Amino acid sequence: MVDRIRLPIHPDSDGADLPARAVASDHGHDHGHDHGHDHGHDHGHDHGDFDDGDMPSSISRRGFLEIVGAGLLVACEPPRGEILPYSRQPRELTPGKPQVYATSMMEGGQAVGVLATSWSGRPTKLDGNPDHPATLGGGSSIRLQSAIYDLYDPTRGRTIRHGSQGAGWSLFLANARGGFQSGKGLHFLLEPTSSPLLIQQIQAVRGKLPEARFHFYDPVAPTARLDATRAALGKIATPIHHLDKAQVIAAFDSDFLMEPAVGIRQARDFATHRRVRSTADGMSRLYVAEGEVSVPGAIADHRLRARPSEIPSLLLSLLAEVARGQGKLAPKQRAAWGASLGPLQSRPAPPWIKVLAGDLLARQGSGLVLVGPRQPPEAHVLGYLLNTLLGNTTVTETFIEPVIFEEGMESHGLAPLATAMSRGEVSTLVILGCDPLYDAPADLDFARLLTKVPTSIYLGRHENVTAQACTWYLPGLHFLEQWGDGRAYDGTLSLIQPLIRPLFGGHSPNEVLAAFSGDPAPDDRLLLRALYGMVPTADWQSALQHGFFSGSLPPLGLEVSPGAASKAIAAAAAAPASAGLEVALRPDYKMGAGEFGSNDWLIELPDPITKLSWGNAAQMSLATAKRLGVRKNEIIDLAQGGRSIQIPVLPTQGMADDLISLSLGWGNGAHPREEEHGLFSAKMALVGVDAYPLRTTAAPWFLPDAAVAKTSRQAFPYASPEPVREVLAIQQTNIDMQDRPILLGATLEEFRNNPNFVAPHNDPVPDLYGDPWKYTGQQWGMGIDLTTCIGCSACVSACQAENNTPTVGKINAFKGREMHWLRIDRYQLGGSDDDVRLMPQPMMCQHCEKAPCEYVCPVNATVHSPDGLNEMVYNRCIGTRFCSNNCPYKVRRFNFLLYNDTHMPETLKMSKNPNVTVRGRGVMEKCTYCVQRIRTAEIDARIDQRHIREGEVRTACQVACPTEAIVFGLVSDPDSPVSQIHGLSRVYGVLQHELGTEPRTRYLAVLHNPSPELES
Amino acid sequence: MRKGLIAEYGSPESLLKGALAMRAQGFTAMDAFTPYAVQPVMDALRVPRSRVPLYCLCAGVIGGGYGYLIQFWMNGFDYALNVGGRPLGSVPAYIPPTFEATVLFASLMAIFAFLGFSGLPQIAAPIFSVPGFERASIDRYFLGLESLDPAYDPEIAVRILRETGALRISFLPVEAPDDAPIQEPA
Amino acid sequence: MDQAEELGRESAEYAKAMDGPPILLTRASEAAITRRLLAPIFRGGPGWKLAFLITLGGSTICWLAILYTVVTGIGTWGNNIPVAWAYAITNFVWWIGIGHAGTFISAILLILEQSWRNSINRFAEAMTLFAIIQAGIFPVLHLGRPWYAYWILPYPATMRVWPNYRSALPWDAAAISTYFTVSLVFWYLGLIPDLASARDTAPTLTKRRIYGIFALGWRGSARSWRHYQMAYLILGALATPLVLSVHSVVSLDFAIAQLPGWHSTIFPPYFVSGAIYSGFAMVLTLMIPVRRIFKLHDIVTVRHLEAMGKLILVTGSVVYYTYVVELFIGWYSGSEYEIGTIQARLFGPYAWITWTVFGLNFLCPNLMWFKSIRQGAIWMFVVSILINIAMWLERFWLIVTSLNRDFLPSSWHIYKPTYVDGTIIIGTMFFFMFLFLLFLRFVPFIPISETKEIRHLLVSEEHKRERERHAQGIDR
Repeated sequence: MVDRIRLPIHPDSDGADLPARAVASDHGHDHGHDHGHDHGHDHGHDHGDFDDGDMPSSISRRGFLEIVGAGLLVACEPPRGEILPYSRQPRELTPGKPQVYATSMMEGGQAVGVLATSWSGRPTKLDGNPDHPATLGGGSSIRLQSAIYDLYDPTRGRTIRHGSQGAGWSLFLANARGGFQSGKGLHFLLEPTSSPLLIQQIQAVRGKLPEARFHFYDPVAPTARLDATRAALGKIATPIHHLDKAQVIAAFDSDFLMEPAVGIRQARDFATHRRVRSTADGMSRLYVAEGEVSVPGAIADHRLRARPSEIPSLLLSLLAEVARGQGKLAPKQRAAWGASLGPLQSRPAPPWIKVLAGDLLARQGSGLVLVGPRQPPEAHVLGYLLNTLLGNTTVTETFIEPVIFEEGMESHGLAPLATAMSRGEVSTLVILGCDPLYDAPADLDFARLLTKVPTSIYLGRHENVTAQACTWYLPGLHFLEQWGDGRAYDGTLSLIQPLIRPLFGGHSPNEVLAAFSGDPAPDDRLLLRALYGMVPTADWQSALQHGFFSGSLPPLGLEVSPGAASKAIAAAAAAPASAGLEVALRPDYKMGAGEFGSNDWLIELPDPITKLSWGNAAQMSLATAKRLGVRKNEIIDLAQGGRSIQIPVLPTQGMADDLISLSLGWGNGAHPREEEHGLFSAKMALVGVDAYPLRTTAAPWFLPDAAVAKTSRQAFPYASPEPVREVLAIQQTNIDMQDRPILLGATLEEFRNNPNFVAPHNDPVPDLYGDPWKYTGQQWGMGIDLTTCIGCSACVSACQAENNTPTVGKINAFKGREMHWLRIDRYQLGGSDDDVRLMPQPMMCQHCEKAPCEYVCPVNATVHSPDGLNEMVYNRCIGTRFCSNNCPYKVRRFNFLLYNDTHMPETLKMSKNPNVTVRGRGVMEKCTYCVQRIRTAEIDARIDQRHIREGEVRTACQVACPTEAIVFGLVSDPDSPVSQIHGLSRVYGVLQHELGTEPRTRYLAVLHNPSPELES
Repeated sequence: MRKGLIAEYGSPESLLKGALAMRAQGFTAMDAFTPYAVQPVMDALRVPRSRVPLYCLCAGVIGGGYGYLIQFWMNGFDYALNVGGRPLGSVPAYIPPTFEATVLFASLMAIFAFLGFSGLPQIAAPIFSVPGFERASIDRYFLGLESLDPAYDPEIAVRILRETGALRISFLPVEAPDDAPIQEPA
Repeated sequence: MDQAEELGRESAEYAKAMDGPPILLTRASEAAITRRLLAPIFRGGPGWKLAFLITLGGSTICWLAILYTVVTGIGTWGNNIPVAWAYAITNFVWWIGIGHAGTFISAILLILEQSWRNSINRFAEAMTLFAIIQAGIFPVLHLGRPWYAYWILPYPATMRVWPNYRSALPWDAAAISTYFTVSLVFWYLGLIPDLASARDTAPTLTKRRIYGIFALGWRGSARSWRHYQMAYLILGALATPLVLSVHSVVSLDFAIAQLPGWHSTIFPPYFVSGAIYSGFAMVLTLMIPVRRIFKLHDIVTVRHLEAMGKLILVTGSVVYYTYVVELFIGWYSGSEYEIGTIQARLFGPYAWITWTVFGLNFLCPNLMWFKSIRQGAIWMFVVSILINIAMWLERFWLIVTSLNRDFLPSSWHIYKPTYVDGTIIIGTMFFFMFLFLLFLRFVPFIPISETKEIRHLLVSEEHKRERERHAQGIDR
């Protein structure tokens, strides 16, 4: 039973110096009121089977209000700070209108700017903070969008546990304070952090308990990159990449568009040179060399399949090629490096590298060589060296002081802690946040080590495997529940302010640390305020309002040392070409290293490339699969270095041969899900397969010489063994476009020669009835630029969060019943398995002016609005599904079952957007162009007696798109951006030429900018 | 028929013979009761042709008109919406229901007209009390003479019917509880 | 003699009735025929009880599966997006198709004065009614919210919303309900004289009363007969276009969609012929065993098998002709989407169904060229079963192969049925049989008065010829 939740009362005390708090404090009261109120107002409220659905089933509304009213009654402990009565309503709160607050989310210890939309105390939507450097322009990522689910996740830990029975915070405080004279044997394990507050507290603890040890562990930390900077530049530094200045980008095993903490900004910068409007516009050129198909690789202009272990030698050949062309280098560089590059000139290079080198040399100072964090240090050094040679350093690549505390130092990593534990020197281990039992390298056998620790304290949002193994468990906080701070990738100091009182009690790492440094009643808000005590209140308030103190760290003038360079060259040259089957581990796009393991939205979100949801798989190239004789869904025994896992196979186009790619973060024992719901039974199973058992400290990413064996079972009634199969819930089963003109594309040259190359696909189709309807007044429409779309799927998550889209579970997803209103199709463009291009095409309701779905609905449940929207009337829908049959885009989604369970946990009910109907069973639904936002804007405009302003209505997907590929607005206004896009020569409507549906969503045909030499 | 004389025959031929004979005698108000339709007998009795078709025609026309207009009103006026960019009066789309309505009204009219014209349902009718009449639906053929007929004369009728091979002759209403064959007057 | 002339004009019909295998063999007395044909409805027996129990059990399972579906949602079926229609609509079309033979026999053959129809029309009409009842389950059950099915009807709702008559589904509702009503009326009208016979021969007073009520006091007066014949003829005339319209409308459910493989103008004739084709198959499937059980070989004769065999040949040929046309037009359209659908059908995941359907529906009609098969009850039974299977598969194939691969390859998805899907279709067959058994047990299933009429026609004609031959003999 996960409902009966404690109602959020905000930690709050003195006056209104923090607007957020002043507001938030009232949410407690307002919430219940609004909970009923909003749903009462839902347009299209299902009067069939849903009235009982969106009010808490077990509490009557009156009772609910009573509970809400008296925060004291429900809070598991006396509320911190007074509760302001609703009569003293702060000016910025209007019932039924959301507030937006700026806060920050931590990814790998670095801050990402967030704007959180809160409905009277219930945050329901997260977006990028447009002013924040990490999310400039307000773009976001799938994780940022889905993080809101983690807040309401019903599986979160709720009570403090000591041993096997419940305990209280005060009891813990008592234990924490006493007993460590010098702190000997006291070890802390934290996630890497850039938070000044946390750093200050760590220092404080160190001051008080000099012998206490601190460790930081992040399974996917870019350690090699740091080692490389230490080796090559003489000091640990963080490279910053400025893709907005890069015309030629060479990504070597680098997923720079999806990298945590920086991906959003990098995607935005990358798009600046891909946004082609007229034939005069230029376009950057993207080269990607990689083993797996990454998001940048899928859309690259040129892609080279190479196993990760071959990347260093490729870089070396590139260097050699540059050396051969050093005549073109800047005199300074030639002088500095000519000698050391001499010997390299003999090294041969494949044509692909030759062309790349040519481009880089031609565009010195506006090129960029990116090396992925999984690559060994020497590869990074070569990358830095190349950028230095080509004059890209200080332009497209700069270095700053590391923002992560003690990054790259001995305190990072598990090894020292492990040795201490094995020696039995650890008497008390305090684990704040990370999940070592799940994600520690297998060779450490952390579980066994932990048994040697008498007292172990775990703070985290879930009572996961680590928590279960610890003697103390403290519920952790979501970033929307806590105060804190942190630095963005570029050092910008960002603030975390809560929007809601901790749902399940819980405490922040700051409070726990404060407890150890002797704070009698730790309160993270007071701690933070104390830290920033010297900041004038006005600045503090504006910082809170904007979410950060502007100002980033200055670039360091660092030089690659020749010694390190030659060492790296030698190392790369000496590296043996790994033979046999190679296994490459990588952080999952959705699960990360596992921190999102219980996020249903992310679990069900199709992988941006493979469209696989509800699990991971052993990806390998088609050729490799054939060679190994394994087929899709077949479960194999994957063994390496004496360890093995069982995992289903997924052949994937475009992967390097003899390479198996596993994504980490799945199969976390803490988060089983209901997999199959039979007539009388429900089968619980882990989601995906845990790949950590293959991981070792020595080889964290690439494992050579793996062995694959087919698993099999004796099939009844046959005696012969049959392969064990798993259902892989792949939501797009076919990426072959069948030569149909659906995703149109051309090269930049072709476009320049023939700007109207899509014209044949825009022919009007004669219609028996002619055009009986004239669309006048406000008309809405959308334009999607397929060239800047990178297929990151942030829009899909955004749509899910905005429109209360339910998740359907593995089996339903497998059957093809996913509910995402917006999906991202991937089509194979550019034929061969080698140079595969998997282009993304966002596909949602096209809002056809001659909508095929409408005239087949027997009950007028889907009709057209005067402003050109294809409207879906849930109340009226009886579920014949004829509309879906007749929709050529198949963008309509049907509630085959009661996916929005009327008995869903209260927290999940809180997560719903009150302006959007929660759909019940048996009705059809689809993209509405975020009609709730349109209508809200209309109402506001009517109140102010004005027209809707440009950009006043932005759909959730549009806001979320980091590359601004989606543009929405008034097509009736000739000056609006969307009208301008619709006016371009490259714009076309999908299937318009065939069916004459006159879609309002139009696409800009995708352009690529391949190098002429490689094209021929 | 309520009052008159019923003659029972063993075959349609003899029934026909009887009918023709009575008609020759000037009897007009006659009816026959047969297990199945015997065309010549109907002709001999000069049964007028049925007016059921006329009624069906009217019903059909009304039904069709109603069917079309109701659609046009619903989708064109009372609930006028832009559906798939099609005109409010999407005439071709309204044809199938119009047809169905026509057929439905006409068919229902057919059966109700039939029942009305032939005075059904009438679960209990005096004629059922005629002895042996239950075989009218099996293998006996009855000729009924209405007493209302100005030319009605039991003696003549009985004689002629006997000549034409009537197996049994009874009178309506039946007085005697025991249905013995009537003695002919001396 | 005068009445001889009066009856003389029947010799033409006699010739029609007796050319080829005669349509009636028995010459038993009218009373005997009546008694014999009414026997089954007055005499039950252990056989009946057993049959009832079996079919009732099957129907119960069907209703349980339906209950489970309604309570849980049609997610219990295999449907998905894009394959939003599958088993339910397949069954619907299949049953409706079967429901076409009855009224076809009653109406069209009546208009064409095919007197052989008389022995089997009652039976076929009953089958029609029960088939429509089965069919009627599915359009409601397949809805996401079946309890709102009535919203498809034009009733004055408080919100002043109306159905959308641009969609084919309200046409369906109109066509099916009309078809059921008219068929019922037609069937009942035909029953009235026989109910009267049942009333007059009933062994017990209760039965007499019940049949009496349903007979509406029919006395067989000449006037009633005149109106009766006229009404019956008109119903026939009205039902004829109705039969053709119903499956045309059903075909429009698909044809008005723009899905490749559905969007085709040949659908109405194609569906109608397919419907009659499968309908006759079902008539045979039911009639042949009944004929055997009740020993009706002298009333349902080889002539009937023969005639139906020929109709199957005709309609079946139309069906497989349409297959060819569909393939050709698809290719000739030059649209990559149409061609893609054809390729998917011929070589795609459901190819085996395609080839089974093509094979069976080509084989079965063409077997009818052979007299020996047309006239062999066993043969006809086997063929009829094959046709039923083939036609069910055809509907499934038509619906699913178009849906699972349409315009955007990204949305292609395979469809797999669940056990609930299977239970419901099998269950409806049991329910159908159950209703049919009730019919056999309580309703005269061979038109008695018509049979007697024919018999009288034949007998009197034969007597006449006898007399004539006699006369000549005497002269010589």
